[in-house]
Amino acid sequence: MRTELERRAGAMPEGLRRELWALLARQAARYTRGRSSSVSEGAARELMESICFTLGLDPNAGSGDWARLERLGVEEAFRLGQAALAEEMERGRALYRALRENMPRLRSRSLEDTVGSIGTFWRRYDRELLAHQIPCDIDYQLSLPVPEHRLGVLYVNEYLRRLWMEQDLLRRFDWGRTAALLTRCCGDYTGLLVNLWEPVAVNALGLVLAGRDPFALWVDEEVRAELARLLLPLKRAERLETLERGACCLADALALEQPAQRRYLTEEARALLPRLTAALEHGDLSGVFFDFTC
Amino acid sequence: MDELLALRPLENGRERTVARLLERGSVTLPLTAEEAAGLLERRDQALRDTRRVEFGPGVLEKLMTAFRDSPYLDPACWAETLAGLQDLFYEYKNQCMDALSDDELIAAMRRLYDGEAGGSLDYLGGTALEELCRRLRSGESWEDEDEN
Repeated sequence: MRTELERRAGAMPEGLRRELWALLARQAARYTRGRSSSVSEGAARELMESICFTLGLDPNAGSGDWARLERLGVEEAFRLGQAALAEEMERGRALYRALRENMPRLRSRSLEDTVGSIGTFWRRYDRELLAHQIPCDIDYQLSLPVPEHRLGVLYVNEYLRRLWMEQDLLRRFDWGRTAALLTRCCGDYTGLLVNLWEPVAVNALGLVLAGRDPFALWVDEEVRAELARLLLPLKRAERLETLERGACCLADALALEQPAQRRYLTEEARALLPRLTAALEHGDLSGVFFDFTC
Repeated sequence: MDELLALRPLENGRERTVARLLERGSVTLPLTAEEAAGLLERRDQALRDTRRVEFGPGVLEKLMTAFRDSPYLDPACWAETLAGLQDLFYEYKNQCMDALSDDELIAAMRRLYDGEAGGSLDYLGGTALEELCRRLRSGESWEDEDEN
């Protein structure tokens, strides 16, 4: 009996199926350097996943844009996909250089290790055979993680883009205050896997919502009480709206012009809602908005 | 991913491969059409058992060429011997973690078959190739030291 998977694969036009298989065979021959007529199933899966990634097909959905593939032909679509990935590599390298040149003064071992490891990505990445893989160690946690479905150089570029935004935002705040806040949040922030930007973003957002100066970064009991008065009576949707408005005000205060950075800030504000709601219900915002001593 | 591996064309040149095996048999040792077809069935089973994917016509022609003049070969058991060799080939392709090319593995199989295995497929698979792969994994020289 045919499995559901086989049935769906069988729905692919026969010509396309043959072309894809022929491409997989060529990739396998390159992978073994012509030394083997067969490969392990695991290797074949990896090669096919790379092909699907290059062609923009979803390997799990198994459908993809077949009409486009039929029109272009698998070979041509693959060539175009490879060219697009090569461009992404160039874009990523430029982004990486910009990031390296503008690292903040704040120390973080996981950030430094991650940036160092991404530096090896550009020569270890096999765009032609294993384009979906990410041959480097990415340990540093972003405030907003890159979606898991992103693969290969597209994942790395998105990670770098987000990291660059976070570092750029961090640089707008006083280094001493930022370090003091981070020490208050996590004593060993330089050695542990903690995000540097998130506590800064949250405190700055709280201050904006309370009508204070976001660059102060210092949230005391009075500000927390004010935030509780403001947020506690609100329903979920209203809280979310308030957070989004706060993000917009903070973006203005930070003079953010790039829409992507403004969107990032808004997403971060939205992501704060569950934690904020839980803290409000317990009548204690001190675990969300931190005070500190300089 | 499974469904993409299932994209393999249903008929992958099987008739053409049978014809090639018969042609190769005419210069090595002959096979009947039934035997050739049976060897291809056996290949499919071996690939399933070893979880390998093959893209070309397989290694049967190479095995036929490599073993045709072995002194231990019984022409009456040619197809059966080839089937056993083919099974061992895919099994030890995995065991050696693809470190040996097809040609290298076949050459090693022939050398061991004619040497310490004394024409025994059981010994070849159970002992000689096991030892070869062990040496390969431990970084020792896997080639016959007498030939170096």
